[in-house]
Amino acid sequence: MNMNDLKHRDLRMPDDMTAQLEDLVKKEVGYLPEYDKKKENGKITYLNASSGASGLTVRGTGKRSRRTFLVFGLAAALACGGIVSAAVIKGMQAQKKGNYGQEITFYPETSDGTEAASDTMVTCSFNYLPDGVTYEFFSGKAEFTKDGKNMDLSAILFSLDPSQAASVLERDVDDSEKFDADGHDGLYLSQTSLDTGSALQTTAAQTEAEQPEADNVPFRQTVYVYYPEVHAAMQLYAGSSIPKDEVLKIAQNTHIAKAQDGEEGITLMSQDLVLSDETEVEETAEGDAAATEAAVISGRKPGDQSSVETIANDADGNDLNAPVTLDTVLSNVKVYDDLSAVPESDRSSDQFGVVNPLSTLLGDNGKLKADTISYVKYGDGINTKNTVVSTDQVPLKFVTVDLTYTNNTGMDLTNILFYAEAYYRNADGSDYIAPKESDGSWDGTKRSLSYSESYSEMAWESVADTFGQNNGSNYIDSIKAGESRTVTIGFLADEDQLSHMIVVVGGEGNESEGSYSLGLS
Amino acid sequence: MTKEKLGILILENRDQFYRIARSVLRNDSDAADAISEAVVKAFSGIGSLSDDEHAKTWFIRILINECYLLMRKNSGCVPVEDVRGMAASDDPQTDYWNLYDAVDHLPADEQLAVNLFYMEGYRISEIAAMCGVPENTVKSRLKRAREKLNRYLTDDQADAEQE
Repeated sequence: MNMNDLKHRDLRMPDDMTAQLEDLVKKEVGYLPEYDKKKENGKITYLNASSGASGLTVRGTGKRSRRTFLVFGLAAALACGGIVSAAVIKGMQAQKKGNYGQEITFYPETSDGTEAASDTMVTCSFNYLPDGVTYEFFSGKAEFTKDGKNMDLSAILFSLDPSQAASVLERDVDDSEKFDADGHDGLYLSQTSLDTGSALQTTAAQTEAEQPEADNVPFRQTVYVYYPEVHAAMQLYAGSSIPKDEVLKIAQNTHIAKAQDGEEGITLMSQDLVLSDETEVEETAEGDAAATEAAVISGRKPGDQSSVETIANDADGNDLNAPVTLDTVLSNVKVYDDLSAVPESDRSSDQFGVVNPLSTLLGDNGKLKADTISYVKYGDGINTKNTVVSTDQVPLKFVTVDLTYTNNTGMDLTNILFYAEAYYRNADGSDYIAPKESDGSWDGTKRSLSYSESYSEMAWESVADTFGQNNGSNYIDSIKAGESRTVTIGFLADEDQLSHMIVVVGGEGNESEGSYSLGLS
Repeated sequence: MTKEKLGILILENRDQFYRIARSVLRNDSDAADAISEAVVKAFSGIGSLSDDEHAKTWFIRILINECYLLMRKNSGCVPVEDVRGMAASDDPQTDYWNLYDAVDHLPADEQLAVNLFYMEGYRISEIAAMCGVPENTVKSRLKRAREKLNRYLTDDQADAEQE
């Protein structure tokens, strides 16, 4: 069994609840609209041809979409694109839009009106991969690992409706190249985009020498390969650490075919789910959003008690089938200019495969390097790109907190999971962004070394891997009934973020009872 | 978007909304309340929906908020018969009943992330937008959930082999 098997779950709304829902909708609309009662997980409403262009959305929050997926009927495609006849155009076609856009259209080979089954099963084999790389599929998405760590490489297989052409608009494209993938249309894109939000994130594939700085924008590689015979396509992503010729070789040596009876296949993802707009969704329930954010900042101070739910084993190491609640106290908050709180042996650790190895953050003087805040003016990715308009230097700090867990469950526990996150919030609960006032010249910020603008994961913890289980190291090996254990957790934060720092124990981010305002200045 | 279209969208995706509500709330009664509240709020806020393409994601965001509100109000008051969650309504004879049972025992946030990602097929960025948390929090929840489920399923397989 694996996570992929969750797809087999077929839970449906009970009939009496459906009847109540119909009554409610009828009340709101004034009548009960005709709807397809057998439809499941209905697809996102198709845009008509006239609104296709308006599918390009740019929001001023920095989280603009990289792509917009448009689906329109063949008739509309004929009207829009001036295509003479659907019989002439087939395969995968790419058209440049603006300076940096690429619209990729998948034309079906047949248009017999046959709907692609949403549960089409295919087999897929990557017949070429770099040495030591393995892969595993989860619900139509392949994740690649090497030496147990995730690579900056992923692949998604998605279904396409054979009765309609479908398009995707890619942004921030610097270079594109068509290629043949074992008789299938392939398209390679090289894209650079100074995304705001998270700072440097490395994987096992990236070395210290490859760390991107604020003015060295990492590029990503996107490959599409079209398999019209199974009404499907592959979207392959790779980071800049993987050479282009390797990416092409992987794509060219990927074999996909319809699963035969008795063959174990992979269910394709729906095209709507795979390529939807990543634009941030507007929040209309403003009261709820405010309540959620307030819950993070109206928490406790160091020394106050809280409680958290977590998972653990019993004294014999057997999994408990329900979470346990431990009393928790956060205390002993310290701020460092260096990594003296971290043993030498831990400075090369790569927490969760996301945060940089800590040792790379030290300058020649043994102190933490200064961080760079880049102020970014957003582009639309079609005619303009995100650009850095100015930068500031700010000291980077290492903040440690002690978390003391007390076991009042009445039973001895082993292998106890612990977790904490840091948020940076203003007094009104909104995200803290940057020390510099907005003057209209910039829309968002990016930090090079601190984890991200308004959030930080654990960068280090004092407890080593327990039981040799290789379980990510954030586990306490044992706490006997009635006893306590203390762990020290470290976060990276810039000096300007300190006074806004809130640590949430339990990692829930918005509702945990273990929310602490650190009170740093 | 017209009220009619919103009504159709809600009715045609009712099963998905039901699954999402049950991911957070452990019984049908609360799920029905949350869905009803979400429907009322969605219709009252329909004027603010600027892009029909995102209507479903927009509604799910409202639904998730309603589920958490209800969960906070009812904390500590889960009926005993509903403790086992959705697995109680699954057929124990299916090959995957243990997996469903394991998922149902996850904390609400992790269960919701798992169901949205693996069952409903949403991307990390979409789940983050719907749940109102950073993408890294979604990744962390999925990672923790996978660790727990992996341990649960590994022990389950070992037990089965021993039998």
